[in-house]
Amino acid sequence: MRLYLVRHGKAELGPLDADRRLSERGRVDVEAMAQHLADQDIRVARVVHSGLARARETAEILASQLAPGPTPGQALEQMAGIEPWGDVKAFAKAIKRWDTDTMVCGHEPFMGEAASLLMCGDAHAGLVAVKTGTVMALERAHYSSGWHLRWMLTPRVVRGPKAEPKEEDEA
Amino acid sequence: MRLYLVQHADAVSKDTHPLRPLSEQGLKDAINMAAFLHGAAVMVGQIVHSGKLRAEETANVLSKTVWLGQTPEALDGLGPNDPTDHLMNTALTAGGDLMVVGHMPFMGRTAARCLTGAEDGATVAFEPGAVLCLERLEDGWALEWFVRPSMVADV
Repeated sequence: MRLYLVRHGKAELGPLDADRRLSERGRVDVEAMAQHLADQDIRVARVVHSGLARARETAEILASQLAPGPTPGQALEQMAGIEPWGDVKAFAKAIKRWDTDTMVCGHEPFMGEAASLLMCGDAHAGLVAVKTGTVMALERAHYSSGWHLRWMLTPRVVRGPKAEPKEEDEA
Repeated sequence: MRLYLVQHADAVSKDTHPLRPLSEQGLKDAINMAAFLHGAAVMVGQIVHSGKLRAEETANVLSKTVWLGQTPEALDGLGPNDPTDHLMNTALTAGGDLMVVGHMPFMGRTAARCLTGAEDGATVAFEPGAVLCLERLEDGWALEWFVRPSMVADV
């Protein structure tokens, strides 16, 4: 099975962290990523997201391209425990029971720690630098209990460094 | 700085040609990858390869877009089963971004060493024609992106 770990696109600032929406650039980045993945025939059965608005919006855009179904949003599912402060070990345990290709939209530092934990057994090894809008594709290794990385794409690599307003990177 | 680790593209078998040049598919994959890297505005300060024909040919194709078409040269110590020390020293003293075209399992061991300190510390699923981008941060190397031919559009 394939597991796609996604960090939400760039978000607007706001008084309530949980309500922060994707910025215009964040939306364009995620749409470009969704289009690129669809063009390379990536499809998933489920797209799960945290309860925070910027992760939900990221999931909605990706699901519309990669998890087409009879009714829009059918593949979407909110998941507890993948917020920025979520428990990475509990997540690693939970996904052991998963058996369909799933995309998980969340945050830093959670996603980077989850990728490090799955790939080398240490959540704090700092294996990956996960910028906003990044997607990592992992698959279970055949010969061990771990996972290995198939690919990892960032909006900058997919879209190119187009002229765009500078926005601050955040969790 | 950035270090780009590349596994040579698909090559013909030893029976077809003793020097194992790139296959038709391998050449196509390398050209598509060169175009993709151009779109991502990747530019490097140097490209080196192992000296084997399949690595040299891959390096030459990628150089067209990421190194102004300059001619990559062979570097010692990039054989499939060589120790990774020589490349690590080269990377740490390189003046700019460095692209290295070589073989498995060497590339996998190098990536794992950069990321975890141990050559068997993590698995990055290389395949022929795949390109991995590592970024040197204050506290060591981190993976920035990793792309394989199947994730790149045809030109």
